[in-house]
Amino acid sequence: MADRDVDQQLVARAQAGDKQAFDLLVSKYQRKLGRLLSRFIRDPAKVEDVAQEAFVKAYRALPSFRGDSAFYTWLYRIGINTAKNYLVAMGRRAPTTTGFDSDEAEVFEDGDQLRDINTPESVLASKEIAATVQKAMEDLPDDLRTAIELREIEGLSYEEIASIMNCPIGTVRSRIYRAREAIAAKLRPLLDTRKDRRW
Amino acid sequence: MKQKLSAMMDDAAEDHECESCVKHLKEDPELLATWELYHLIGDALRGNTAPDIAERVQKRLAAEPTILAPRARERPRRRMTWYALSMAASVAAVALVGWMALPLFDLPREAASQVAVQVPEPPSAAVPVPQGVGDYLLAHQRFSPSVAIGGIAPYIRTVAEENGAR
Amino acid sequence: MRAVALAAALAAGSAAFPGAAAAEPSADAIAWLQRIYRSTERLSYTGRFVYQHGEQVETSRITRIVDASGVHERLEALDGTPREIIRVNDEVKCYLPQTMTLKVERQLDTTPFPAMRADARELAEHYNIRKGETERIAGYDCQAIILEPKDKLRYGHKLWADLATGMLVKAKTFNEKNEVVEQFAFTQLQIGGRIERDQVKSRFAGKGRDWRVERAGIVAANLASDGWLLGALPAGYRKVTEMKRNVGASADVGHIVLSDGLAAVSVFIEPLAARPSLGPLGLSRQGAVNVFTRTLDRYLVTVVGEVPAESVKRIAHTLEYRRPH
Repeated sequence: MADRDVDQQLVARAQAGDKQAFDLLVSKYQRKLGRLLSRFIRDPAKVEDVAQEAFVKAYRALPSFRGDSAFYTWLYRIGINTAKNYLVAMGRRAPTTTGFDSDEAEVFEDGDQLRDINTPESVLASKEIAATVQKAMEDLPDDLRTAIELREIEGLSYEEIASIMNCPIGTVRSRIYRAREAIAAKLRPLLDTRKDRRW
Repeated sequence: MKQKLSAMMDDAAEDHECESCVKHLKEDPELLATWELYHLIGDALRGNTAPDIAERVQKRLAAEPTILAPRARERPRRRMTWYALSMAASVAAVALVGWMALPLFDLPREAASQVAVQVPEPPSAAVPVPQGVGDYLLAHQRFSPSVAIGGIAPYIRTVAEENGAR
Repeated sequence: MRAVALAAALAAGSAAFPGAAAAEPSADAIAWLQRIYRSTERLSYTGRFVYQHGEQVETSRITRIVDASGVHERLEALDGTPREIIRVNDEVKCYLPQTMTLKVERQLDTTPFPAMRADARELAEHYNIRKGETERIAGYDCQAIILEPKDKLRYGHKLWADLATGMLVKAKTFNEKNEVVEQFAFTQLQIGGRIERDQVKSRFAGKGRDWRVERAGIVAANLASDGWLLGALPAGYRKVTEMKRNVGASADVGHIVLSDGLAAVSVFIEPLAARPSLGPLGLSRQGAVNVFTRTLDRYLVTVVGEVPAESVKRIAHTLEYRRPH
């Protein structure tokens, strides 16, 4: 197995001049960061703006990222900082809850719903995506569904999943992949038609 | 290749699989779409269906000066200490791929030779904000003969960059 | 491949060095280069050109009139942010209507190729210079001139010049991997002939008084007397000129220009105190330009140039500071 995780590899590449590697990290963390920011910023359009700003700041600050912490932890701090600056610029005081100063990023991630989204279209889009994913999950065979749930929702590693499901790691890898592909197959047509109605 | 991508996302792919995957991600738009889609699925399962801003961020970053600050390889972070024990039996020898061996696809050749050289440390002060590079370029353009078709044509290059960076 | 190109060049009419070794520069090619420089200086022309670097492509209109009163030029961007650049002899003004900014720079001299050495043959020490093919561009039959770097300290160039007048019509810059990092080419061009005077007049000058003016305030300077010394520069690079000027919001910035006869590298020296915050230090790149920044004593040193990263880095490290008493 790799002894550097994919984030470390992508960051290293980005630091060496490969901008596309950073784009991959953006794809990976955009919603996670967005959810974080929406705890402090009501307007979803502004959340997007601030998220974009945070990513740009992160890119510029890349040379100073040493890998002492996980990439997302570092990105999280930049996101918080950017949100703070935005709120201050808007004349609002940044909340002094533990949210801003806590290093435990994960506390805020799990189980929270995104705040209301404005446009009916985007509400519909999100709901449609969520519904499609849910339905696709229900249609999955048990072993595939369990594998992907343990990975994506419980956040367990392949080794842990192999232990729980009492199967080889190679099987875990295969099951998770097949689960993803099955769901993806149902999402692709949905997203393709949406591309024409780009907001 | 999609299977490798799936494993890579979970930090469960071999180094050579990661390399191969990243290489294909740069060349294959369908694989790139799959990367985005698989992450969307993960987010959706966690109840997070925020809209996709990756494309606009990408456009915005395209105008940014490219960072060139490769780091010498540091001690690897091990995600889970216990897995090394359970993995011993079922996995082939761990491939410790050195930094120099990573294929540098589109990178200028200098990047490879930078590794052994000390790159100056950035200041430990507040988050650095790049400033004024456009102004330096504007001041430099006067002397730059490559695109010079007269004294002022070079200026077109700088002003474009300056505005792109804004 | 070089032997073939040289043979072709020789066959094309330059019999100056029959049977010369491949390393011998084509005298005809060098003569062409000198012709290009001279023509670009003294010709009047008007046209449109496309400039590309990286993914960005821009179209612009340019008009230049050279007459008894000197040089008058106007450059107008046709894409993207509106901007207009006006030159009258040694004064260059850049109008940016969107931010209502006017940048004014009075230069130390008017040569369009200040980096060029008096003797173009010196270039041959660091570049293999030879003629390429002839090609029709923007309605003109052009001769290609290739400048291939002999080491990794500089980029390669290919220039196309009008056979009749020697005017530069197209140019490309190649990095060490032979990738085109920037290029420009005329798409419409009229050399000489009747060019209306108002084509070099600004469309913005005199319209309202709300321009924020930034003056470059260039003065000739001797930075060595301030304690700035350049050690052993990379092969071929020499100091061409130096000055003090404003750059952006900073005043009194030292500016040294180095060149190998073709490529130019600028070294900027700015007091750290003038900067509220520093950008990331080290290497960065934008298109064909590599940038290297470092701190030295209480100054920020920024080196920029259309040269490989290794060169800007080396140049940055040869700079020394001995505080004068």
